[in-house]
Amino acid sequence: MEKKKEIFYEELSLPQPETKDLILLDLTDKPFLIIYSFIFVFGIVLTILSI
Amino acid sequence: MVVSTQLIILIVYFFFIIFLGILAMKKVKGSEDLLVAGRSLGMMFVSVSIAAEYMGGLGTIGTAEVAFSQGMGVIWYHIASACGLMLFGFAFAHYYRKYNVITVPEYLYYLYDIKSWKAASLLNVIGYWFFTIIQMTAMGSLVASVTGFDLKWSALICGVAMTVYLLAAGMWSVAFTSVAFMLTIGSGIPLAFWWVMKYEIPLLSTSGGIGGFAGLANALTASGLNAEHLLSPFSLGFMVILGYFLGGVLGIPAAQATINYSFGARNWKVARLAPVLAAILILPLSIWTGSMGLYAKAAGLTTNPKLALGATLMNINPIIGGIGIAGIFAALVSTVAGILFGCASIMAKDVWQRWLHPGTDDKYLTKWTRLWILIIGVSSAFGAMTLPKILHQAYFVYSIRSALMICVAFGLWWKAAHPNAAFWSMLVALVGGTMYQFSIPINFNAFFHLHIAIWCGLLSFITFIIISLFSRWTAQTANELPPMVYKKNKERR
Repeated sequence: MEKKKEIFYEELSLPQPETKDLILLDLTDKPFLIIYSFIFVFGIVLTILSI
Repeated sequence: MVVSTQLIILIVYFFFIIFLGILAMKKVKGSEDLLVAGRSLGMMFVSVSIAAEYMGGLGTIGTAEVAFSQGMGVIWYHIASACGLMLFGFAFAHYYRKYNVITVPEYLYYLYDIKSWKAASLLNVIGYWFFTIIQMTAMGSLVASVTGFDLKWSALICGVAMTVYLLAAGMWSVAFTSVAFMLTIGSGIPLAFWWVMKYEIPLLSTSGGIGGFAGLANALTASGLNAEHLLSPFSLGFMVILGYFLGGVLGIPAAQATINYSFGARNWKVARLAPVLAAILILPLSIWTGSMGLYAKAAGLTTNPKLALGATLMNINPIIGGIGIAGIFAALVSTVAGILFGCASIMAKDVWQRWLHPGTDDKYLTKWTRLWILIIGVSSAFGAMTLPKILHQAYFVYSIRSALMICVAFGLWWKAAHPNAAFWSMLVALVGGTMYQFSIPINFNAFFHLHIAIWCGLLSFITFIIISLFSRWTAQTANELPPMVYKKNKERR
């Protein structure tokens, strides 16, 4: 078991963190952020109005 | 065939989706583009795509059907699903993404050994192939209710159309159109819900001229029904709600079709946060569809629970109803596309390339992925012609999938997790779940009274623990580790 776990943890630690791995949002997300916000607000407003 | 406003809106929408699929074709250059969209999807794109994929036949027609028969307790379905998505995001997504895997079985290959990966591949292919048939049948039933076509031919036409659409550009096609789908689902369904609650309910003579849930309660009471029970969030009972939670929490973190998009995320942080944002979008869906299902009951639009949502949308303002039907159609197409694509990915990548033909290069993998989309899609379309019940079996597929999540979770966080345990827990869940669901050789449900999700979860959980505790690690166990991992370790030494 020790052998297996040693190999496993080595694999998990393989990828080196880079700057591109830390970016959450960039300019390409803008149109989809607008769509997400629209769906979210539209759904909430109509639900409240319907009750 | 009845040519209604709703049908015209549906046809225009269908051609728009085909157009988007063709646009996406230009982006495909290799198998990575086809399978995981080049691993370049941004956070909002991934979250919207996951939400669109999850809102399928069960989440729309299925929840309206349950609300029609048993009341608004169905809202727990999407609350449980949202919990499953959040669990996947916070606890699993970054592991999958860091390994650059394309399929869930591929990850089990890293965690355990070759036989676990083969068992997981088979479990996934069987489950998703069956699920594709179920969803194509649901899609056919919606088209049949709008067009008046025969249900069998509607299912066949929808299945073949979906196959052609996916052949165009694989995941880029699914990802491109999923944004359009989510926009249609997220605007069409709440708009129809609002219209029903605000303008249709007051028109019912039994509602007392008032709208909203108060008017709906009046109409249900006037129909001789227990409005207080039907509108209660606990109308389904504890066991069903527990089944929803187990199905969602145990099923989603290993659901290839849903989490496929996280594999295509541009980095592990995006893969981790996007499912959480998707969970927020899916939360209110069953309030909208469930209320429209109950409206169909209060207004006496149909006696068949499966037709509740379709009947409501065909009997309200034609423009609003047409937009609502386009929303339901979008939900169905996005799910069928995701499931069919997930099944073909596993078949091509895991079973075909890694298991049967290890020498297959990138160029041929792209060809084989398309061939498997064609084989699975067309065979499912013919299967959909013969499947009499639509959503009855869907939770069975969710349930056997829970075995995969149990294996992934134990592999990550339990040091004693043994490859034999992973292999046998998947096999026991598949065989035991099939016997329970189809009452082979006896009716187990009559004896145990357990939800199928609880049954399969318990079987694989207990099997995993017992076999792990009684299995020994030997030199042979180490030699059975995946060749890639073993080789790297040898090189280091």
